[in-house]
Amino acid sequence: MKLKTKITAGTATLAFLAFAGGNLQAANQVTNLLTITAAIQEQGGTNINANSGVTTVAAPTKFAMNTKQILAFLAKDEFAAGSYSSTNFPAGAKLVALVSDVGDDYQVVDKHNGFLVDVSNIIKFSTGAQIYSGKTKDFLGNVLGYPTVTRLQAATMVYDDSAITNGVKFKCNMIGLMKRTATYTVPTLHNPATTVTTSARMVSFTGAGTNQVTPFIITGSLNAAGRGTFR
Amino acid sequence: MRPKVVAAVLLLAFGALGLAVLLSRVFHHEEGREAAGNAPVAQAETVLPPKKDLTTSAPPAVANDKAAAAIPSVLQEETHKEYVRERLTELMELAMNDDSESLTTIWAELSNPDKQIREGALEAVVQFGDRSVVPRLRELAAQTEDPAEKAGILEAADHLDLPPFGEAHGAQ
Repeated sequence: MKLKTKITAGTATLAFLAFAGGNLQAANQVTNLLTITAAIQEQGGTNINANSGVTTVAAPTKFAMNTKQILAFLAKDEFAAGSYSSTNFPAGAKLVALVSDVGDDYQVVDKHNGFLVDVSNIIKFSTGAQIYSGKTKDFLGNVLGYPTVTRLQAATMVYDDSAITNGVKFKCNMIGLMKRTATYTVPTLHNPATTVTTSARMVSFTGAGTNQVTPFIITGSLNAAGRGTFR
Repeated sequence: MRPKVVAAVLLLAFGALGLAVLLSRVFHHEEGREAAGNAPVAQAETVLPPKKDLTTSAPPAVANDKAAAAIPSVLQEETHKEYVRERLTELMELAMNDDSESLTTIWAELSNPDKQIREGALEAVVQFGDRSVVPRLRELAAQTEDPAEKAGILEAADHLDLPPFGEAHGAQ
């Protein structure tokens, strides 16, 4: 009996844990500000000594990568794809993940949250099996966190512009353990709106990729935080 | 006549005694009920954030002074959490700018009394990506006593000290 209760609660959790799921309308979504901090170790150059026949491979070169640099790549790629009119985004531009029960969408918005371009053709996110904890409650068919539910899952973020002609030619996978938390305010008769505050954190990811044709290893962390209100 | 007076006095005395016992019992019962009711109220207020329930329309339970004092502290905690959440978002949005004013605002929060905000500010400094702050970050690390926080600041300085990938590859 206890197991059955757990399974039922688990199914309910799965239903709403896409930040705005359950019986909430598909149009409901939470905008999460996405930030990435990473270090890239790029394959060192090769030198072949013709006299000795010895090939020397240099140590990897280490670089810093952050969200602004990813935005710089995205602007060039979306310009090359014909989706954006400039090779640079204005200062203050942000990378956001729009998360809803029907799927995720990645966009670049300006400092006033005005839409600039959809970058879901380049940035993709996939998640595996999950485990979850917290409390839920059914409010007249809407299963909500009561107030907080947390899930842990292996996640992969992909940057891939290989489909774009004359793009930056940057491609990489970033894989890590992601902790997602959703905290709900409970709807009342006087205030039927539900506010959900979300956060997602990948404390440590590791991945590999290529820049032009040069291979690299990438390590870093990823953060997302947002809030949405539904009626 | 005299025995009648004595009887009346005795009757009054017994009546008064009975009333006193009755009142005493009622008093103890109320106190006991309050004491029994207060423990879960105080516990609930401590563990759970304040929220309203659609399914109940009962008036709020009468709380004693201890429970009443617990409510503002819970509300204060929730308000503070909300303040921290909003401030962290603001700092990260400022980090996406390129102007010195934004960096100054972020930098000021490195000395905020709240540890979470200091951590958020450090993350924002890294996202801002201005390599000229590296020496100042190292100075700040030298002045920081908390070993974990010190390590975090040094890690941020080391990260900013690396050549930016985009610049090295002509993307910025």
